[in-house]
Amino acid sequence: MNRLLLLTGLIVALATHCVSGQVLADDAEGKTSIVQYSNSVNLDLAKAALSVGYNNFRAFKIADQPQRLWGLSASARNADGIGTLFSAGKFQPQSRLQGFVGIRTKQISRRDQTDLAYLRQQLNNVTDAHAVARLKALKNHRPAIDSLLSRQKTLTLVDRVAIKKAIDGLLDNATTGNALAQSLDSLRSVYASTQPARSAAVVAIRDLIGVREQAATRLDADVQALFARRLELTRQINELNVPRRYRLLYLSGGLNASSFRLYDPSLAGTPGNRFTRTAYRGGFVDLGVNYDFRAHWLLGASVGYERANTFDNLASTDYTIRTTETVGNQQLISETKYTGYSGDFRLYDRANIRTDLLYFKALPDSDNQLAWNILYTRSFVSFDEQAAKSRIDLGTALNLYTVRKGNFLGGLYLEATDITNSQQADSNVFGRLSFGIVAKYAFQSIVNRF
Amino acid sequence: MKKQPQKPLSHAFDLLADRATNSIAFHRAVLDSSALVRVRYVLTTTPALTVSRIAFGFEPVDLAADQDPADPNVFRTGKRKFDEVLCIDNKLMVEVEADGADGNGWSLAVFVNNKPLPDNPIELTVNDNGNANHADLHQLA
Repeated sequence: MNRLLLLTGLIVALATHCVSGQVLADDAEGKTSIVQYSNSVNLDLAKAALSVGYNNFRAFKIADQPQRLWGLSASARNADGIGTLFSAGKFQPQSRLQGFVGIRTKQISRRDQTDLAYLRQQLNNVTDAHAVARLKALKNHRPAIDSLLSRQKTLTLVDRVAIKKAIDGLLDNATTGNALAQSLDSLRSVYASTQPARSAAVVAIRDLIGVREQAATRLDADVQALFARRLELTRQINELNVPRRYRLLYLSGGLNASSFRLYDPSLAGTPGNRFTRTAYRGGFVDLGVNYDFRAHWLLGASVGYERANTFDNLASTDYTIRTTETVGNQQLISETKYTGYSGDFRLYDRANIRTDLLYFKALPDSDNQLAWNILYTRSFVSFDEQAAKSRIDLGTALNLYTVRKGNFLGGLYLEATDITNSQQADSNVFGRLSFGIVAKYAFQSIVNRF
Repeated sequence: MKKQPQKPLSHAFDLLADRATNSIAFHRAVLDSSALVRVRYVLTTTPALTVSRIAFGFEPVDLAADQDPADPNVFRTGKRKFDEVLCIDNKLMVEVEADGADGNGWSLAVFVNNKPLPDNPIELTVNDNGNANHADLHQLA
């Protein structure tokens, strides 16, 4: 049975659960304690899983305090994979509805907080909104030029439009007063011989700007000093290089549903009666926390409760019921095919505890990033030891991403299942080692991480 | 904000005096260096980067409004137009604060009065503490 679990686990690792992405830090069964930003629609060919999700994980990008995150996803799939769906028409529907809410806050150590608060306070003090606003008003020549042009009685409408257009261009191109003065002078000389009215207007504008610039001189010096001080303080804040730290608290919960035919040989009646349609409704809730530390580390942990079943322990068997009917001297033979799951099907409660420790490293001379899940643990405590034994899995996983696009390139994992050998599958610990390759098929071929 | 006291009457006379000698005044005044410019920008980040601040001439942009609806990793000039940014000595103050895991970074293209900065693109990747912060003056084209 445990072998079967491992095998299904390997395949499930391919599947993606939308809300939490669950590729980066997945264990063999695709469960994780790390929350990730993921794409919204995935089709996993191996498991015929279709999922849709909606979330605000784009808010991950903006460091508001605090970042409020939420997401919803629903997925449905065929328990037997897509191959049997097409070849044999076997459909064992499983569906899952999941919701997620989280709060992400930036953390600063007390010592850094003191330094940072001091510098920020200084930065706030170095401000003179009044001076800046006044300087801006004085430097904004366009409205003043407009009103001056409208007062020039000698100008025709055509003249006004032409001058305004020429001066707009000059203002765009000249970012210093000197350059502006020169370009106004050359504009005047263009008009000088043929368009005396325009030339006079340009002189008036040049003088107007001169007066405004003169009035701005004093403020200009003030604001320059202000800006220089602000630049200095901003640089000092950056030089503090306060280590990056985030804490994300999240609550995630959901419902599972599936239905299948359970084969029960003890049932009386015709063989067909032994296949009972069994519907399963389960649910889970997880409370978790993620910590980001500086550039390299990410720690995640979650505890949760789950209403689970033993579906994975059931054996799927194909049955054929053959009916023979004699009509006169002829026999009519008809066959009915069933896919039945046999075994001990139970519902039970369990507590899930998951931890992940991730190390990120940009690979030199390439666009790739290594995300090494140094050690992950998956343990559950069963409240019904007859249905399922409690167990602990340990593993490590290497994953590769492209940094720029966040594309998931692939990964390897090595997992030691059932460390305490509570299920007594194999007394040799190496016999319980599983390893595999993680790959992923997706509509958008992109897995975005937050 | 404390209100500035009313300018004394002598200020008006200064202005009148300037007006009388405006051609001289102009050339004295143009030694000044600040100007208002129009700023447009596009910031592209790697997916796992968090952005805290983008500012030009010490005026922060509205990050949520500037985030591209189709691609959350792109920020560009949105509803709030930066048409009146003060730049000094022909230089624009550019600030970006961001953080993320190793290998992440951002790339910024700035256009002043529709002309790209000679320093374009300004790029930075995170350091060992996970920060990719930038605060500097950039020469205009």
